[in-house]
Amino acid sequence: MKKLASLITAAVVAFGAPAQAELSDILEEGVIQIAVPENFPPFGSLGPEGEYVGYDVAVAEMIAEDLGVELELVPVTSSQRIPYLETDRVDLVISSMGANPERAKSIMFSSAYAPFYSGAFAAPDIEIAAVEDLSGMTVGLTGGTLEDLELTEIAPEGTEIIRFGDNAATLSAYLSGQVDVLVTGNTVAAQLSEDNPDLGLQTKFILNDSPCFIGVKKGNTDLLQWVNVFILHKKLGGQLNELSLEYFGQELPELPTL
Amino acid sequence: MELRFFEIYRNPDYLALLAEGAAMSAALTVAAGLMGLALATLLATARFHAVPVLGHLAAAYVEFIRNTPLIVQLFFVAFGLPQLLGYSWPFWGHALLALTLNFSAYFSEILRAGFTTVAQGQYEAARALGIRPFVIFRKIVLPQAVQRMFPSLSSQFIFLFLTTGIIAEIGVRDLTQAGMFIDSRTFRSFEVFLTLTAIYVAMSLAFKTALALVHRRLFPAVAAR
Repeated sequence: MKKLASLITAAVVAFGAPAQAELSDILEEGVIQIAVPENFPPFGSLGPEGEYVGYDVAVAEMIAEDLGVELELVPVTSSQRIPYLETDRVDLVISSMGANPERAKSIMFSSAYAPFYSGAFAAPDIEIAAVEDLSGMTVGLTGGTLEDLELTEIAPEGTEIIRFGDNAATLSAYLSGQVDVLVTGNTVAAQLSEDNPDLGLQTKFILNDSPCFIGVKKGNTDLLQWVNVFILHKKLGGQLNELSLEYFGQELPELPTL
Repeated sequence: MELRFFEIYRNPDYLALLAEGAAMSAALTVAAGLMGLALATLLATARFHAVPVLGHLAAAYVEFIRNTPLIVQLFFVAFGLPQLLGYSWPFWGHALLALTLNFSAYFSEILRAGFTTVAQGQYEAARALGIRPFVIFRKIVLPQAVQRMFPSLSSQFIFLFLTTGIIAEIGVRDLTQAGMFIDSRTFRSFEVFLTLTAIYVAMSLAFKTALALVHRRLFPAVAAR
């Protein structure tokens, strides 16, 4: 097994030829590659001008500016985040990523840089007021997201959780009446409501707040340290609060520090 | 880069998920394969005998399926049709329907090629003996077509099995979805996808062996040669 593992590692190294993503290398090269969500508004999505926009994109821009290097945005889906980081195709992942102890065995997380509010949304005739009421319901959500991790932990026996491949499939499933309850970010639900006013989409309850963290490859401690100072500085300076008002329409709440 | 496969195989929940996912993938593929073969027989017959209207419809259907991506067909069957027709099935039902439709188009082309290998003289001889058209088809044409095309049908079946991972997109708990679930919890992407690769290879080989056994059982004379 050890031998096989080292063979595979050798093959991956030979093909990937990973560039070291230590802070000094980024500064020397003058470029930082940052993974942002390809389609997860308001964190990151393709804007009307054909440029990526969103909270995560704005944070990435500030990071490049403060480092004094050029920014290369790499739009990714949620399942691409870790392979891209592990193979050094990106230096940082700023992609509405949640932290938990199991994930932290694989990569390093910064302090929280963004809030994330997710909730359960449904039509008025669906009578649920708390997570316990989900028993017997079919709940649609996007697999691997913060709300997936959270709801999987706390859902009562008898809840049928259907995990879709991406945000668009989840919304299609809800719109076509395939699931009773939609669990997603509140901004996503607000957009859906605005586009489909006849749905009568109601907020049934809010899941626990689970803020977002920036992902750094294991071992890049000086980059992680710099990112943490950056986040602290932007929290104290009020820039993150401005972004929160712009993209989420509310003040930045208290965010945990690692 | 360090590989930590033990994070997967030491966790009984993850092993159970992978086993259930593999069972779901296998069951849906086999069911869609059998139903697809039945539908393919009808399609190929309608086209081969140039049945008025039906033959053209079958041709249009086969071309439509073979010239659109499976993911589009899947979304149409799972989210479009239910809205148009007002029904709701469990998601594995949508996946089964989409896979059956998809498999049938590919199988029907292979069967149709098989039909053309039956010599015209056999039809004439059978008709001269007064055998009814349905019996000619059932006892003379179909067995020979299936027998000759069995290797093509088998490899097409295995190829289609490998495309079924896409049903994870619509929330079916197949093998690919089990992998994505574990990946999103542990962030051990390489280990998870290498494990999936190994399981898919093992299942493909198992299907290949099983189909070879079926071949030997159905056509002992040919298989012995």
